[in-house]
Order: sequence, then structure tokens, then C-alpha cells
Amino acid sequence: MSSKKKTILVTVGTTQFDDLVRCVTADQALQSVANLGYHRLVIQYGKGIRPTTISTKYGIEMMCYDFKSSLREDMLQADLILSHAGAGTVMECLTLHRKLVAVINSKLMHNHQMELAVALQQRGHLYMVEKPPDLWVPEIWEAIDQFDPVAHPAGDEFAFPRLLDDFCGFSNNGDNSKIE
Amino acid sequence: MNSAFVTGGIAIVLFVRIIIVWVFRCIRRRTETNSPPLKTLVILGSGGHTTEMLQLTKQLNRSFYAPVEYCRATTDTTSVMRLPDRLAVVHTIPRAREVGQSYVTSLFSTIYAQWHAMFLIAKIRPGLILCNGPGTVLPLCVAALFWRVVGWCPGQIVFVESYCRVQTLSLTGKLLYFWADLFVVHWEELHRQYPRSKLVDSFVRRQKDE
Repeated sequence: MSSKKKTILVTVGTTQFDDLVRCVTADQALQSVANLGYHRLVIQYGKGIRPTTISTKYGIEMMCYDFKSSLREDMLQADLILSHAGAGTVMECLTLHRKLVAVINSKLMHNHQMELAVALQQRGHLYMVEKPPDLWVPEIWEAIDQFDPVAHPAGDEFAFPRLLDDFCGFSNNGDNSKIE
Repeated sequence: MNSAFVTGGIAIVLFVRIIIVWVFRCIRRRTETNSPPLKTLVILGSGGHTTEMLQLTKQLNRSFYAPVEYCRATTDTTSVMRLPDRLAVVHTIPRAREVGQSYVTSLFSTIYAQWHAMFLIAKIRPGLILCNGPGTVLPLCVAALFWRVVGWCPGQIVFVESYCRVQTLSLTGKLLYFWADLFVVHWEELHRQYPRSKLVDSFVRRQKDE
């Protein structure tokens, strides 16, 4: 367990979010990351520009790639995930019970994705950062470190079928309908 | 002259009234007329919409909802590959408007999409339509309402707002709120603002790939 390096995964999903990549690889952020004892930084930068600042700094080994068919493995390996606020990525992280920081892309106008991030933050499922430059603030990293996420409840696949059966006036008890 | 005017006025009011009553009678009647199996048309919205729709319909009781047919936009080629049932009937509809299309040409493509939807719904005669956006579903819903007023098929509309929507409805949601038979949201915040909606609070599992 101690041999495993404490890892941060940065993911932007299928889109691009260069501000996030730029801010997290800047010295201001890396110092805080190093202070919290992280030794690995894995960056999935999507359609964005390949970061040029990839090296080993402050004892943090950085690596990057644009896409992988599934991020599941990398997510499971990570101790902390920094992500864009896209629903697909956010829900995948929460389903895998990862500690998640959702960084809002403040350059996107009418960003309704922020709704989901705010709602999940209010319920304690993730930590929300309002704009990428906030990652240069040491206090934000302190707060992230102390953040203890509330586990996201597993979904009930039968909730919608029950509602629909009810609406249509079908018996929820499958046996009854077969007797008829 | 004056009496003709009055009679004409009354006739118009009556006509409008009959339409309103007819539409609302059709909208309100539900449980009594449903007997399983109910022919169900599931509209796949592409991308995240398809993901959610497949998740929602995964555990539907197939002895109640049968046959289940699907509908996708002509430009959406990935949704079909993700269907659980490889042999399912999948209809295609033209898109009313592509991203970036000009407004003048989109007027014609909307009319074309509506025309196409009218024939499609008339042919399928669905008892139930499940949709969750985006705008491509609107022509189908308009067609369903029309054929229902005419009495050709029940075409009850079930709209499920996206899980991403917490505080505000999507444009499609806003338009369908008043005439969907069942309007479902995932968040308490939205449910409070739209009391006619039903809350499915527990739908949270949304994995990209399984």
C-alpha cells in the first residue's frame, strides 16, 4: 500500500478544457499538490492542446494522454480526480466512489452543467471549484484535502418502471398480470 | 348583418371549445383505456440522451410494454449499436435542424421533419411514447397529439427531463410540460418549481460503459 504513489487524475472528458490543464500544471498549483503528498499527476486533455509543461517537478511525476477508450482503470487508481463538470464523467466518478473535484469551465456561457455540479456539491458528493485559477490558491487545496465526500447512493433501476406502471394503471405485481 | 356576426362568433367559440374539450378529454383519459401489452415507441435522442433512455427502459416489464420500437435521427448512427435488443425495430426521422444550419433552410427542414413524423406515427400507432429530448422529439410529439385528437392512436407522451437538469428545464421540457401525459424530473429542485411533474429521485446510476 505504501509503495503506491498518491495519484491525481485530471480529466476533461470528450471535450477540451485547456484552462484546467494549464492551471493544474502551473507551479502555484504543483506546490500545493506536492505539499499534500501527491507524487503522480495523470492528465487526460481530450481535444485540447497537449500540455508542454509535462516533466517531474516538486517530486511530482506527470504524464498525459488525449483519450482512452475507458478511464475506469485510471479513475480507480487515482486518489483524487479533478474533472470538468460534464455529467458523464461526474457520474462515472461518483459511481466508482472516487473523491472528485469538479472544476467549472467559467468561459462557457449559459453553462447548465454547473447546475448538476452545484446540486451534487450541496449534497456533499463532490467538491466544486468555480474557476480553474482557484487551483493556485493554497487554501482551496487545504479544503480539498479535508473534504470528506458523502457516498453517492446507488440508483434504483426500478424507480422509473414503477412510476410508468403506476401511470398506465398496470399492476406492479407481475404475478397478478399473468393470471389475468 | 348583425345577427350573422353574432352567430358566426358563437360558432367560432363553440368550435374552439369543442377542440379544447376534445384535446383535454384525450389528454386526461388514461388508466382505464390502457390494457397491456401497450405498443411503446422509445425515442433515442443521441449521446447522453440515449444513455439515459436506455438506463430508464432497461427494467421495463416487457409483458406490459410490447412491442417496443425505437426511433432515432438519421444523423445519429451510434445509438443503434447500443440497443440491448439487436432485433428491435428502429425507425429513423430527419432532423428538424442541424447544428449550425441557417434559419431559412431550417424552416423547410422543420416542415419536412413534421411531415415525415405525421406518417411515421400514423404507421406505428403507438400507445405510449417515451422521450427525453432533445428538440428532435418535438415533431413526433406534435404528430402524436394530432393523431390522438383524430382518434387514430392513444399516443400518450411520457417525457423524462435529463438528469443534468436540476434548476431549469430544457427548452424541449418547457414546451412539453403542458401537454406531456407524464412529465418526469430527477431533482427535488425542479419538482418544486413544476408541481405537475413526477419525481424519480433515485435514478442516479449513469455509467458510460458497462
